[in-house]
Amino acid sequence: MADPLSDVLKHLLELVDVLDRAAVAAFGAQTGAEGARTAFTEAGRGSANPLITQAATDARTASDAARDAGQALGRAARAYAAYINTIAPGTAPTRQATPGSMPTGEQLLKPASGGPLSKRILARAMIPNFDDGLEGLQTGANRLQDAAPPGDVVVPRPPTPTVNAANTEGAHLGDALLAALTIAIVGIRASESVRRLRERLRARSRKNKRGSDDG
Amino acid sequence: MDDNTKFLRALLRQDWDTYNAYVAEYTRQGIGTPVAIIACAFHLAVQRRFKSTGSMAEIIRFVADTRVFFADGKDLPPREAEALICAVLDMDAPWVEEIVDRIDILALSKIEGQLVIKLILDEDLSDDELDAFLADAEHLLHEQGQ
Repeated sequence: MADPLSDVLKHLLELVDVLDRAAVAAFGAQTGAEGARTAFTEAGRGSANPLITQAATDARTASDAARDAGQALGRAARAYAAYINTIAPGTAPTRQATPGSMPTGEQLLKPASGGPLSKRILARAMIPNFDDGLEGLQTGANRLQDAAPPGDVVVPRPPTPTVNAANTEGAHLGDALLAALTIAIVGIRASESVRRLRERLRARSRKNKRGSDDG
Repeated sequence: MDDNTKFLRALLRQDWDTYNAYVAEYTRQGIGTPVAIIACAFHLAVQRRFKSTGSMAEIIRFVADTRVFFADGKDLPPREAEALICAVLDMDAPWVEEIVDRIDILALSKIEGQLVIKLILDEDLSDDELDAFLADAEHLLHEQGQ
């Protein structure tokens, strides 16, 4: 029979693994939502329909929410790993930031280096005239001249099919939901293991106490 | 008002005769885009538009509207445009800083140029109001040591 503490550690490590995978799924959902936003924006070209703009805004909100969820799941995984290493040092792998992982809370709160971003971006542009053959300014002028004069009817273009983007987002969200369910199941298993361990320890304590009383 | 500011004014006012005369003269002299005054005008216009009530949703909607206005929006990448507006408002989330830091000067002038055109068009300024706005932009430019 397996050692009860090993059983608990096994389930906790499984939980960390599931949290990690859920974080990846959440970041995947963020990518999907971002793709949906791009698709909505593309589909809305030439259309002044506010629903398209709203759809893009909502997709961005979903993207931000998925990113936040991914960061929270990553923090949870780190916290569990730290807990495991406290009760059984060296059991959980060292939690290093993986390439492409989202920033920690500390990083999120880190002030921008070199002063406010607004001043830095302004300072970068302090070139009286950039040697670009006027390409920078002409881009705006050309687009303005191409733009429909006020009052003109803008003919809506056929919307770009968004089936793939929607399916992708659905798949990511499905992954995230599945991951959340798995977390719940694994969490229940881990808590059951902890409960069983406590009962065994209590039983052992009672047995020892009886033994010493009898002796 | 210096020549760079007058050049920008002609564009914002859609005074194409004056604008084309500046294009010809600048091209003849080999002078490029007046990046600094565009940046200052962009900075002030963003502050005026978004400072008091700005929200991410409002910024996203504005950029989407601007892309629609410019017919195909192919020269206005939405993430970069949103990041630049957020940067002016000091909404320095890591993604804003990351995007802004990798925009080169040419892309910066293209994006800020298009956004400032739409910001000023939306304000529907009179000639005097536009001149006052550009005077403020020149003042900001001089504050930057230019």
